[in-house]
Amino acid sequence: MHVDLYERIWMWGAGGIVILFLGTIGVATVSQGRLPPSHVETIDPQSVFADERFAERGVTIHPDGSAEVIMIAMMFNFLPNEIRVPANVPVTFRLTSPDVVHGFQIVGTNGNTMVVPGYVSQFTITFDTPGEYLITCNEYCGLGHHNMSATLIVEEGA
Amino acid sequence: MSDQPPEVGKHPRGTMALVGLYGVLFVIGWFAIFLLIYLPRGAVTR
Amino acid sequence: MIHNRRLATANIGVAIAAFGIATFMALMQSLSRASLDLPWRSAKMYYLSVTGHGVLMALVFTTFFIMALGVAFTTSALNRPLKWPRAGWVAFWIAVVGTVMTTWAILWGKATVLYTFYPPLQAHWAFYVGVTLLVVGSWVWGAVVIATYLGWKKDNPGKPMPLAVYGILTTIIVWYLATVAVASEMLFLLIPWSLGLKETVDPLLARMLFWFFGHPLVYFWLLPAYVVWYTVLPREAGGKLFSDPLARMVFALFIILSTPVGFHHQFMDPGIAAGWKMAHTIATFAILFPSFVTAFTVTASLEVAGRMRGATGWFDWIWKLPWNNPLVASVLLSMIMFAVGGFGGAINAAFGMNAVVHNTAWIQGHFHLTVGTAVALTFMGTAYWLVPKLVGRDLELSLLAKWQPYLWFVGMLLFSISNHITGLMGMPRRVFEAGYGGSEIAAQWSGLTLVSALGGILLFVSASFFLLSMLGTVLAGRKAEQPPLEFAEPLEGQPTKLLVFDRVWAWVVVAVILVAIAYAYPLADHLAMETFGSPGFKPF
Repeated sequence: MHVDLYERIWMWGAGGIVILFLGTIGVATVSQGRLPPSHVETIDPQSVFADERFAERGVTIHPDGSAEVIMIAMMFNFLPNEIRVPANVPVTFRLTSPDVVHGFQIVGTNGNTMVVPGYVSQFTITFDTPGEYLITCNEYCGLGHHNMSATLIVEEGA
Repeated sequence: MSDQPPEVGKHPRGTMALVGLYGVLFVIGWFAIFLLIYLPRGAVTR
Repeated sequence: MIHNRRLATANIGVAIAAFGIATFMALMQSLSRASLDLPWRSAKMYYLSVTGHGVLMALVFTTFFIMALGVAFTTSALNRPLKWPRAGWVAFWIAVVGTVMTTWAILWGKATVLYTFYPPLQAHWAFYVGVTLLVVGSWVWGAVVIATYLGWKKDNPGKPMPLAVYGILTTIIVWYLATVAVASEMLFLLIPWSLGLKETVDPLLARMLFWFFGHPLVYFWLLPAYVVWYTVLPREAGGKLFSDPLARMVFALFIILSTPVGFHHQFMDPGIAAGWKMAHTIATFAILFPSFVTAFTVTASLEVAGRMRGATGWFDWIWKLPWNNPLVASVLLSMIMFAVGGFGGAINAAFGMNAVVHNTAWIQGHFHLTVGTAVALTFMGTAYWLVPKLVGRDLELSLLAKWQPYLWFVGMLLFSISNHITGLMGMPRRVFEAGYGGSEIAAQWSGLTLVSALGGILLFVSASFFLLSMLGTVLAGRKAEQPPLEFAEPLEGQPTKLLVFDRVWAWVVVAVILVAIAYAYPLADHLAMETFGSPGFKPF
């Protein structure tokens, strides 16, 4: 099969680009542990409020300084609707839904996950800039979808 | 093929230049978003 | 010559009608998102319209258009009629009945579940049955095309099939691989659940099946556009196809790589292990390769065209191309847009980096470049060239047809760039309005949503030009003998020997193995886990 020299060069280049991108992603994953939120844990969506994992919601600060946030995403609100976490400590979010699929995005950060009924979404992120952040539901969940939001306040650490 | 202008039989230099430029911009753009937006927005881990 | 013209015309007619309805919906949506106070504006209307626009454009317009192309291209390239013309009509009518059911459910407000129909949002059963029938119709169409090809192959042993037919076959194979999943989702989960025969469904299982289907769906749209780029564009531009064997390689790679990639739509989903997401990332980046090769081959074919028209410099061949030919202009502008869309796709597919763009306005900016321009504008350009041949009339309102692609290009530039930027700023996609109770962060998006609305208006005007020209051609075009449907000659002459890429069924086997690795294991893993179902919700 005859392939023009220039096209042959381009094909090597294209293969190189693909490998370069995959390599870069691999380095970010291995060196910093960067992963998309991929926690595997199930929960009965019909008894979320009674489940001990989500019966109490809000922010807990662990002895080592790290924070844990328990939230429920539901039509058309987040519970709780306003949360305060310290800056520069790892914050672990745990979310689930008692009704339909929702999204959870902390605007301006990489905090972004789907919230699927029957499953617990979990990821950890550190905020280094104190301030007020907007949290939106970014997956259509019904006619009130565009009103579904919450506030995250990142406070200067002690 | 004698009925074609002689330019047709040569390597496609214009295409190489355009597509090569595209490849360079593609890589620059991808790394711009990776380095300037994705990395500063915080590491999401388990 | 084109055989079975009436069948192709019927299919393309439904496609254009669906496009026409969906285009009005699009105008409403883009104005609504800019928070413009209009009399009809309501959240109910907006989300209903998003659903209608998505289903009519992404599923109905594309499927019927591709069925028309499949019939016209296969019969012309093989120079023989369809083997089972009646089955071709059966396919058409099944798909029409399905489309009517689905459209009814959407327009009557019983299925505001968007075109992704994620449970536990629950639509009227007619929505799911309708979509299923549309798919079943397309299956029958695929079988008719394959049977026609096999008939030709029997009469022409050892002869490589025409490239256009290779491309159409690739499209059908990808479609069969993809639709196995959506058919399973419909038959085992959503239809019994919407009929009340099943109380709950597992939303994540449904999402896995949807995206098993959802990404090869993208290549089902794109591959026929590639067929036009490879086999029609070079000839219309006055040149030749730069490399026939590499075009076959590209199609073969799409057969094997189109499907094992679906988790890149679910990077942000819980319940799927990161390792599987990484495996799908690798396959997704691999599929960049055939598109990079396409960029070179098609551009080089255009360079050949320009040089055959006398160009001698580095870049003067670009200006020698017939930019006033509606098909050529549409495809050239589509390709420029797709170059940008491909770049965006490489951001979306980048594993953890997906968090930057997932479910933001960036995504709608992205797919309006890919399916909304690379595919849709190519199809419109193809219609200017194909419909006159199908109905035996001259193209009417050809001035509108000449301007329409440029208007689309400018409109899409405004729409798409503004959405890419607001997406990076964190604006969610598919929101009726994005004020968030006067949030300062949300206020930063508002100027760009106006730019996006302006783009939407230009796109609407462009779409109207297309519809007027098509309507004019069919109703009032001058009856005249049309040139036959012919395909580009390869620069090195028609292939005479079979290449490894021509062993289509071997590639299908490889594809099935890859799909099994990429999906069978995670699906089995998922089914082995204790999961909880969800009852249906209808918050619309």
